[in-house]
Amino acid sequence: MSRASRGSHAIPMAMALWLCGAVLPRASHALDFDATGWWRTRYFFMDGVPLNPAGNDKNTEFLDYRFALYPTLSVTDEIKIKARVDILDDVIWGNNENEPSILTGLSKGTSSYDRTLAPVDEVEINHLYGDIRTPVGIVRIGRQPSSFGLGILANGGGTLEWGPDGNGPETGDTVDRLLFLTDLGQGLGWKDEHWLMGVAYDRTIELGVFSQGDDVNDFIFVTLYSDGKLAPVRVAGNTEVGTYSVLVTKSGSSTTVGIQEGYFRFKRSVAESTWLFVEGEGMIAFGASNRSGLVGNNKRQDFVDSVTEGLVETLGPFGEEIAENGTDVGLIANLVAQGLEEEGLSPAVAQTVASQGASAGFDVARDEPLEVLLGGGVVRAGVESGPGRFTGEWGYSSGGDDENVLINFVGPVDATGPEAKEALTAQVDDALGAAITGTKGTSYPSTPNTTLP
Amino acid sequence: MILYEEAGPLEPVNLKPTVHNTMYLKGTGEWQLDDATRLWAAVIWGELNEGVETYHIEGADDGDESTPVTVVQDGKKTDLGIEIDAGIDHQFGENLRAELKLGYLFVGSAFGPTADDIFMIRPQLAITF
Repeated sequence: MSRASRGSHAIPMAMALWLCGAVLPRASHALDFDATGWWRTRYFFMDGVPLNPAGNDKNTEFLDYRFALYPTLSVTDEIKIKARVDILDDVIWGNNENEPSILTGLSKGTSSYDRTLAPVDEVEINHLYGDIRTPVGIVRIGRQPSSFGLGILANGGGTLEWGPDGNGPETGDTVDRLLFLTDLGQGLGWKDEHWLMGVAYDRTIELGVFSQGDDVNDFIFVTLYSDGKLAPVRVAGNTEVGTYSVLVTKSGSSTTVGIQEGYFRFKRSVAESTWLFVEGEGMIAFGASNRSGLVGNNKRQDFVDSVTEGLVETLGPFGEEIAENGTDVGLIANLVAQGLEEEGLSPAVAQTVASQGASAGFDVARDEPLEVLLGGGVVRAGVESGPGRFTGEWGYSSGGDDENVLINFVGPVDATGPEAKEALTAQVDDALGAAITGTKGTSYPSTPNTTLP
Repeated sequence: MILYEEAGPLEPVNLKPTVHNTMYLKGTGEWQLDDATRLWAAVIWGELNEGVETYHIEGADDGDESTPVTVVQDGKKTDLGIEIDAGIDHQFGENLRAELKLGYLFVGSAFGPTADDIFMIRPQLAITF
């Protein structure tokens, strides 16, 4: 699962912005430009990290950057164009290209890679959308953040995180969406309460404009009751209840997945300056999906394709058979790891990379729909009294009983020297020999939109 | 939670840290020292819902070429261990904020039989506007 909005109570931003706008006096002006944002730098020191690509040296330390800019161009009071621009998004300090010399570092001591040494665009426009306010609600069109509740399923990210809330959702969930939102509470004459309701359409996969069979569409219905004072990004009322429903369909296939999520928050005063609160969110996804039907993410597709190609190259016709029919995720991970080891990677790194590749959906049969059952939830309860706040939290995230773990934790595997490596490969071959004829797997990729804080 | 994110199961698409396939319990205490400074601490216990196959290599590094290198399966493990986090953050005026986070994960068996505990220091400085 991907990251959640640790502690935030996000709703679709458009809801809040529209409601704020609806109660503010409207001044007439044109082409007003405004921007907010933040810049940060972080230092990481980790000791004993099992996934450290440095292998035996299990210490690591590095620094990274990020600059997030949120510009708004107000064409009129009712029509605005908004964006989020990320600059050097989690780019690590220094020149990270292949073995630069010290002199290279003196002349060009920078590059643009993230901590996985994946190249990063120095400037990324992650959101760009238009807001059109109408008398009955707001229409938002374009590439925009997707957020709801505590952020288990949808979390727009892009916010700084402090304190015990973890490291933050980073880039967050972004969708190409047509959204309409309204406040039925206003229609009912409510003054301090809101009944937000919205519908949205997302195009999540469009691999080729001349191929209709690969299109994946999401249809979303959202509703939220809140007695809170609505403000941009955040809603934190004393009473909130909401639902978020998604229907995922893929053109020309049997993929149909339903996702249902519920969210609640109750906060009550029990004494002077003392509050009790409880909040929670749960989601379940069910239905059937073929390989790329559930998760619309081109990066995933690209990665799956590259791993597939590598497997075919490594194993020949047998690899092709596996690629077409799918098999157990662990088996594929190990097979790919062998190929990576032969390319010179250490076993630990090869195993890690291969596991990630397999988990990206490689294990799922290409042609047959797969039963989907995902679930997750979180419940928090606590007390706020004076300067103190104490919280207990329970979280659960699962892909179902037969979900394979997406990463094999590999300990400090040491196979130094060609003899040891050869012997290791032989052992792995022997260990896998019986399993190579194994049955088709029943695992599936975990949706990146399912997040626990 | 910072270490579960950094060292736990990685989100498969962009390989960035996250927490998934996990059940956890977390207790958090925060204390506002003044208007600008906050202290906090948290304890997290986690377990994988689906265990991971763990194994270790024997005979690869003992310097004796006659020793066979073997992969020893240790079975499926689910225990992620217990993490203890603590931190302090301070707001300098309206636009500058800094924090220091510390985390220590007593690793569970899911990290393999030879994994060491994980320790992390993560200061952060931010300018907001």
